[in-house]
Amino acid sequence: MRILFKSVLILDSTSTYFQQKVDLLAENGIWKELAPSITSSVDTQVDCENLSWYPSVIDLRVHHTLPGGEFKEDWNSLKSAAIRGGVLDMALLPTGNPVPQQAEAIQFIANQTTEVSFYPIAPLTLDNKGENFTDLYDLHQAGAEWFSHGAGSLQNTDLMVKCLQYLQTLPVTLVTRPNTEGLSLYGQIHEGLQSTLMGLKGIPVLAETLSIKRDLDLLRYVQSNSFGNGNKEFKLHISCLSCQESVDLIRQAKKEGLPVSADVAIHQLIFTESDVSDFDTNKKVNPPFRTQEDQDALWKGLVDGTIDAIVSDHHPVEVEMKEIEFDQASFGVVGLETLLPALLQAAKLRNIQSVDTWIHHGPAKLLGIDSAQLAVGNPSKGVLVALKNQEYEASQIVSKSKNSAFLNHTFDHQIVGVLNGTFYTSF
Amino acid sequence: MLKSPHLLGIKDLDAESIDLIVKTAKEFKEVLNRPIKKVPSLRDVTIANVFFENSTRTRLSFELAEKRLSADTINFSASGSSVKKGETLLDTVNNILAMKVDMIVMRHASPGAPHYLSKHIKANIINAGDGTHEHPTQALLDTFSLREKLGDLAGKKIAIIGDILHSRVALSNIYALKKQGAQVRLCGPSTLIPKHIQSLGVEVSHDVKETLAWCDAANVLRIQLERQQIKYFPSLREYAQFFGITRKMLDELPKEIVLMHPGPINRGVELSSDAADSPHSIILDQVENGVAIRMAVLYLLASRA
Repeated sequence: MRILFKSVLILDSTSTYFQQKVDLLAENGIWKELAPSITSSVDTQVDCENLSWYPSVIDLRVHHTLPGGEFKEDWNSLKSAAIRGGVLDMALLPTGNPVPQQAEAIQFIANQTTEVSFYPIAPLTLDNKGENFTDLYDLHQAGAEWFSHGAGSLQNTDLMVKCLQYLQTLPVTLVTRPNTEGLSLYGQIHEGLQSTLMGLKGIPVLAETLSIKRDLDLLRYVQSNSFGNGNKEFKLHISCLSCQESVDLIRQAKKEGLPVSADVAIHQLIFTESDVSDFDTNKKVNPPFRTQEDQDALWKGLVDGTIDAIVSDHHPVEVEMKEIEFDQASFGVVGLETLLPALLQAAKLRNIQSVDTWIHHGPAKLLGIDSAQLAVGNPSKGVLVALKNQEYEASQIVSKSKNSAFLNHTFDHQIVGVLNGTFYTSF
Repeated sequence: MLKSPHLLGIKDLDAESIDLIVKTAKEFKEVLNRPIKKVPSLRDVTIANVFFENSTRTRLSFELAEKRLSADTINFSASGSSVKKGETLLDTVNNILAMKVDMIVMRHASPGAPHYLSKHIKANIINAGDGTHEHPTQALLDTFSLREKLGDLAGKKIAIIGDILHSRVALSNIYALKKQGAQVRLCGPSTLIPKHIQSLGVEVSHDVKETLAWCDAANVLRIQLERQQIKYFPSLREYAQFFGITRKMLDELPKEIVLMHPGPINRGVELSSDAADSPHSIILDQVENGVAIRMAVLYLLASRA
């Protein structure tokens, strides 16, 4: 199987051909040749005259609906949505019902890998209840490299410190979405002017920052009591930063040398609190959209390396829980299919030349997987993008759930092809 | 003519529209004081009063306004959220609309519920209170009542006292009063004042006596215990002691002020009985004006069609 991409503009910043037009030849899933002009007999030739080549997306945060939520997303729709968005690797949160919490369940998820690779995140506690530990070593042995408290933050401080203590001996990552539940209880949107104007209970920035401060303090405590036996690859990953103060806290922690990393959801980089002013439930997310200053700080955090990755925070929600009153509606948006186009558009508006560190190389490093650089001998993977304006409609969404924050938004970048090894899909 | 086919809130209403509604209400108030109180303005217009939250005075006031305008009315009441019932809000309203209803008067516990409906249905929607968001007809009748007492509200000092955080009356009144150039001061326990409310150009105080001395009129709000999902202050006893208004406090003021309350009053909590029944109080005038204001709103929205 030989596939040739003719005259494609390389926008993978780690490639020696960055910002140059070249031909790419893949053979049996491996890059065979990269050169300004290749003439060779192939099975498929793709004319890429006005197309750009990006590395595929590695998504560190996808809400898993399985088992129990097949009506929101199933394996087939998840894979299709991922490929539509150029996402070829994803970490799945332990958010199924019942929660996948046995070694076999973790292996089962990892074994679903075909065109898309799945990395199961294991739950810290049974049924995500925050009461009793799961068998953490056993789950790690079964293949779990990341652990979390469902999609949120473990509220019990004692249990959290013990999870950190227990896991720090392993080469694993504990991921948390910072939240102090007592402060965010019943909250609907960012606590600010907009929540006041809309009569909705706010979710204060403090709910997030207090949680980060707590976890960083717990990490310091655990590190100073590790008998020198802490695993060098152990990490605390803070997911879905939403405000300026959180970025500052992570920046400081990294400067201090703490083993921390962080990500931000793509929608936080695009929307602010004022975007929910019309009670659009498809923009109801947690953490909520905050202020313009917060959004600017998140971009700054990406540019200076404080934030390591951009995630989709893909969260399928059935229409029955979105097409209702705002305060009754579920949180979450689908995002696998729009992460890359949305990011490319937003980055262009901010004059940012390269985004691949945040969607590919950064997350690859965190997940400990091969970042598949565009070089001869490496696996042939990547995404073809065209510059074209097109309005995004529900009918285009491949995911079973249509709760996209981008409905009726006009994207200026469109994914037109996705290559994963020998598997090429064009749109 | 009103610019929008709906009355969802005061936020999007301009001063000109407020003037138009109050002027029209004044005319309807005259009608209400005639021996024959009914006019044929809304004959053949069908209005559904859809109340997803308990209401006595607002529902009666709307119903009476509709009857005085000769509209055909139907009433739907259900407590609790639509989700709990198993039928969505949109389904419920579409069922009602299938019976060829022209206007919907809706009260709902969820902020933004009428805004959500307005995106999905064609009928005119009047917000009769949406959770802790807005209660536009209450603010309009308060404006009407205040103007009767104080004239033009520009520069007038109006205090809103009580549970601001959970009050749709407060937010709608702030919008209405600011659009008319009034000075607005909010007063209540610090936990019941929304954090960012000062961005709306209002002052905040936690001293009731001092606020009463400052204002020309005080709109006293009830403690919305039913909307408080968590504790905000120690007890009603303590609230009454430190934020309740008594006749004695009113009598000690250097000038006469106007006392308002959107009802129902928690007697002995935010207002003592002798304060509520004092000559300062225009609480029953507010109720009377409510019918005229609602007639004006219904008439003006129907005449857009």
